[in-house]
Amino acid sequence: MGSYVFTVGFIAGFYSLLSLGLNVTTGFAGQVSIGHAAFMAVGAYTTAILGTQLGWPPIASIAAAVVVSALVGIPLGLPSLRLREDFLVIVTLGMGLVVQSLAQYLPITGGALGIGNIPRLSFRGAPLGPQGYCAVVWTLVLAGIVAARALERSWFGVGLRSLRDDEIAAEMLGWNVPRLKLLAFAIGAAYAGLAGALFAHFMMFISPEMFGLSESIVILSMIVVGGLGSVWGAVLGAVLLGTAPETLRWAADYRMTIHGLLLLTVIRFFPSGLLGWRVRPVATPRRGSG
Amino acid sequence: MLAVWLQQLLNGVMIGSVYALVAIGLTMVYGVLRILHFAHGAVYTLAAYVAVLLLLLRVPLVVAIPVAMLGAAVAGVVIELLVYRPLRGASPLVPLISGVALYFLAEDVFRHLGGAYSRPFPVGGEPAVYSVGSVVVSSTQMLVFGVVLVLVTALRLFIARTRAGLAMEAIAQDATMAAACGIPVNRIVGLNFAVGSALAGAAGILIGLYFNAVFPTMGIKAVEKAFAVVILGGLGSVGGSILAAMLLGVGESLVIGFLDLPLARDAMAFVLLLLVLIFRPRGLFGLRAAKV
Repeated sequence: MGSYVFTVGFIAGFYSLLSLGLNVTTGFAGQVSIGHAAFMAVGAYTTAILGTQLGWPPIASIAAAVVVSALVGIPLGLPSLRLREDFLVIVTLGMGLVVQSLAQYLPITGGALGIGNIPRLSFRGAPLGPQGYCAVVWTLVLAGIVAARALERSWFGVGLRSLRDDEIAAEMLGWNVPRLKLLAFAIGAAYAGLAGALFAHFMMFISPEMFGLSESIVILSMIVVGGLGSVWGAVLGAVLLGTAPETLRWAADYRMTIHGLLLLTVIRFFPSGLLGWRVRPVATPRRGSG
Repeated sequence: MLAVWLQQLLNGVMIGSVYALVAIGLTMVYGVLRILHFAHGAVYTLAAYVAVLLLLLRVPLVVAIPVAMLGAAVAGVVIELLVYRPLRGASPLVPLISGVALYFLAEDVFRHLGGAYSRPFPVGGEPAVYSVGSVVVSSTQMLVFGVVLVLVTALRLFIARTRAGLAMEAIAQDATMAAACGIPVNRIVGLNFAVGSALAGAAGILIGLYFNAVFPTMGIKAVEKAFAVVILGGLGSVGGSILAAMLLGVGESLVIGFLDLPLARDAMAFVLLLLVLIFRPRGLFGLRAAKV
């Protein structure tokens, strides 16, 4: 029982990292992505390959996974420079499918069988159990919240939100719009890469179907339910939806039906999300905080 | 060699014409409401199941197809009324997520009602096969192609020749202005969903018939690909969608037939899409869809 609770806790924290990241890309900067699972895949595969084939220690391979995901975020963010919103949605969907398909067919990623025997995280020589993983992930979530809040209050955050509200106006005010967009993708990707890497070390096994379209959509619905652009909303949405398969256990085989109905109802009555009322329009940060 | 090319070309045109049916509905909905209508895939699957049910009740195919299309049309109207209409004016992401949620909800309902396995299409006997030279055409392929041709022609006439079709065009160009001119916007939007969903329903039935398989998750691939098609064709353009669908169908069949790429067939659509968008960010035929 104890380890079950902590496993669910880990999953909630893992989704919180993902939705915190997507909230930067989509919530702050307005660049809608339904391919976020691709970055998670990049992180998971990076750490898995470095760990199993080159024998890197988890700390080093996770750090590398974050960097690689952020770097991959830049080219995958490029279409946002040329495409308008609805086109970008579908292109990011496509990029998610292409990344998944590459994971399925490239020899280095182990193809459809995936990669197994990924080393567990350990602390002073002892491998971590669910409790340990839960502590690690929530420490990182807290750090992620602090970072996202700092970002939101900084001048860079003002730039992101002005980009979201009116791209032309942001450009007129002297913001370097392409740079804002690419950094928004890179930051979101870094969060997702971290989450994916932790996931790989938690499951100890990854395969392409873990990083599909439905995963990307789940993350997007978390930030919509929480309230687009709200940092706490992203965490709330992640905890609510991420633990839903467990909290809806009573519904047995009708779990997904109930889940879908609940999601539709919440969106119907809170179209700007549960914490959407907390999202401020572009506000000037206090002097010296940027 | 030539015969292989011709055969692949024929298969491509066949598949492409079905992609077109799904994509037309999406592009029509986008044209009037500016939303990416994910639940379109649910309507597609629904019609396939209704058709299977009717055929099991010994209703002939010529009756089952239109009845199932009608069912799809009704479902489309209800979806617009219950799910999308209350969300008008919200961020475009919100109806997108609602549509996705509805799609997955429907998938689960189909699984409960129809079973998690793939059902065969209950048409008696093997389809007849005709060969012209060394190119082979089955009677199913001919039926599919015939139905698509009839439907697309009917749609063309409907949009070009009727007042309702004209009203759709008007709303697509400027909804506020259309309303100011006295066009009943809500009724026309409903009609739009009805027509688009009926076409998607027809596509679901034809694909089910062609591959002899109807299953709960069949809609997702169709809708993914239809999105690639509508973007390729320039969102909101019906003619562009049809051409893009044909192009994609043929392109896929030729690449599958002759190249060995580390990509799934379904991911190829998006590689093509990315390549096209690098050079033409508005899609192949999109004029109105300029980046603002």
